Amino acid sequence: MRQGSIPGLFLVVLGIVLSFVPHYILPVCQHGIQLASGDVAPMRCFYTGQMEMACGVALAVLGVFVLLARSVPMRRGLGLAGLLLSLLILAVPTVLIGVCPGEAMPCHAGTYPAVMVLGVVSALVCLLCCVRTARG
Amino acid sequence: MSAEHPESLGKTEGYGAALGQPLTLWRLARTNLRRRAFRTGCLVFIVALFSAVLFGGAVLNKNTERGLHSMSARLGADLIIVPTGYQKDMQVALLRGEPSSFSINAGLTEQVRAIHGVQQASPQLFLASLGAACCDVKVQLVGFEPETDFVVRPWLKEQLDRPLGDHEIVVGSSIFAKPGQSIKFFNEEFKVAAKMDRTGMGFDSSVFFTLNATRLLVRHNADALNELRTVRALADQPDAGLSGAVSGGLPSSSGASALLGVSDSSGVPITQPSPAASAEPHIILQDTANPDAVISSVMVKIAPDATVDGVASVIRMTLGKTFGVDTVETAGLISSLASNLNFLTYLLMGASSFLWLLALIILFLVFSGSFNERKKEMAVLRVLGATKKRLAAMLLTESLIISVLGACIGVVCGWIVSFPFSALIFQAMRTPYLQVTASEALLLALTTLFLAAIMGPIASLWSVISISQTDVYATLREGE
Repeated sequence: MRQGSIPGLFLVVLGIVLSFVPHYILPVCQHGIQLASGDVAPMRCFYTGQMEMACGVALAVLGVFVLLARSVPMRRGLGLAGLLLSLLILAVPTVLIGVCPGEAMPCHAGTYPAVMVLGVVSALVCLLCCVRTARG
Repeated sequence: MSAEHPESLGKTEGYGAALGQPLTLWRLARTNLRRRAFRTGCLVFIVALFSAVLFGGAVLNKNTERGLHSMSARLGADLIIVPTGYQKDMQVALLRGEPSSFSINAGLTEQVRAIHGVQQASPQLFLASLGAACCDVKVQLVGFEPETDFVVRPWLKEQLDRPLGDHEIVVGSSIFAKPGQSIKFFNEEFKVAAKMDRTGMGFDSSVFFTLNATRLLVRHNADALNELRTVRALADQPDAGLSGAVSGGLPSSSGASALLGVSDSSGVPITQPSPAASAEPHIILQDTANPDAVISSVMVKIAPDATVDGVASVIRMTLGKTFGVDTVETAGLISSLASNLNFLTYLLMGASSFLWLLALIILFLVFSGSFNERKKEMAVLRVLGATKKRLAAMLLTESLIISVLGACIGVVCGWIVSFPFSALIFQAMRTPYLQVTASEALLLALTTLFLAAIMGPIASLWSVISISQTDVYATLREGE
């Protein structure tokens, strides 16, 4: 088995799971806020969900590249890119967009921890990928 | 592996690596495991599965136990009087904080106080905030009488050392508000006087008012409801010309917009209403005509010389039919939850024991089979000068590496499920659930690590003993 196979496979699986979490596995809040005008505005967790779905797809594609990459510097570069993507995955629900404040709300109780766990795991996998390639 | 051929030490280590580095016990064991990566992976998985179930189960059990203790300690009332047929609603409000509202005649409190054996009796009024749609933070509004209360005040000794004012509230730990902040409920502004510690039960998502403030809210709600009904009735008339005012089912009047939800002083919503909740205004109390005349329950403390059963039956007999009330014995509620907890404990203990035994048997079979395969390798190592003790140590190290690795992975997986998803588990458990402290969690993790780590060495004991009974010469000549 090639050196990049296991991290690559991990990233593909993590990316696929992440892209399904916000709308299918542990969905964000389904309803929006009804404004006085009668319009329904989505809550911020909806946008977090959309962003995480996109990040998940990007992570899966990056995993495929890690699987296909033949040279060590390329794998190292992809590992670094994955690490940055993982940091973005973690930043979206915490700093950039956020989730609903209520602890009992579906996005806070389910989506948020799932995204955080997946983000941390993908960051560790990418870090491992970088370290292993740095060792040669 | 064949230790006499350094190239077989492992594909990644290679000949040069084996020659360049001393062949220590640890290196030998690690190389053996790496060379049989699939077998090692499967064994690690088995140990990890056991550890994850044991640690996750233990945390779940401990959290439920803590939740139950918290509830038992905080429910100062021995008896709760509720309208007939609403016992379940009361339990649900206490355990999960799911909003309920029910009403009985306020005159009941005085009648209860007059009964022999009743030491203290204090009324409470329960109002349901926004509806049960997906995106609402379900808030149970609880009104209590500060002068007679003996249930809520004792929890707030540290947070609030004075009586609660009529425009002040105490919020549960799950409510997104800080002490000092102002929050609007039904267009009425309240200041957060204190925030309760986490209880692990329904109180975490409840807001506590004085009884007077709660009645004020009922009046506000009734006014807004009447206003909305009027607007809707006018809008239903084709010539009324008010269709624009009822855009999206909501008029733009201030009273009705108060029904939208709970907001802070700047108008930022604290809870988010759903379309369902806003399209149909929430009736927060069944009888809104005269809020001063209604309460939802009476909390009763029984005198030391009386029995809960005795007082409860007197209340049911004398006041049951007149006021249409029934009683909920808190001890019974707690004992029924405790029996559920016992069942959960037995289930988890049983599952953990079964998995431990199963993992031990599998490890034993795999280690024994592996030892038989490696008899010649052991014999060669003996010929090369390795003592029996050294070979035994190598086997024990291999098994210890597998079990420690599996234990660590299992504990991490158990932690990932138990801690970040605790809110989700609490919602699914439907019982009081209070997270363990860091020190308790660490103790549970160490216990799990120990139990899982000893599995490997125990399972490989037979193989280790067999080494001393193996004849080196006969083994080497085997098959010739």
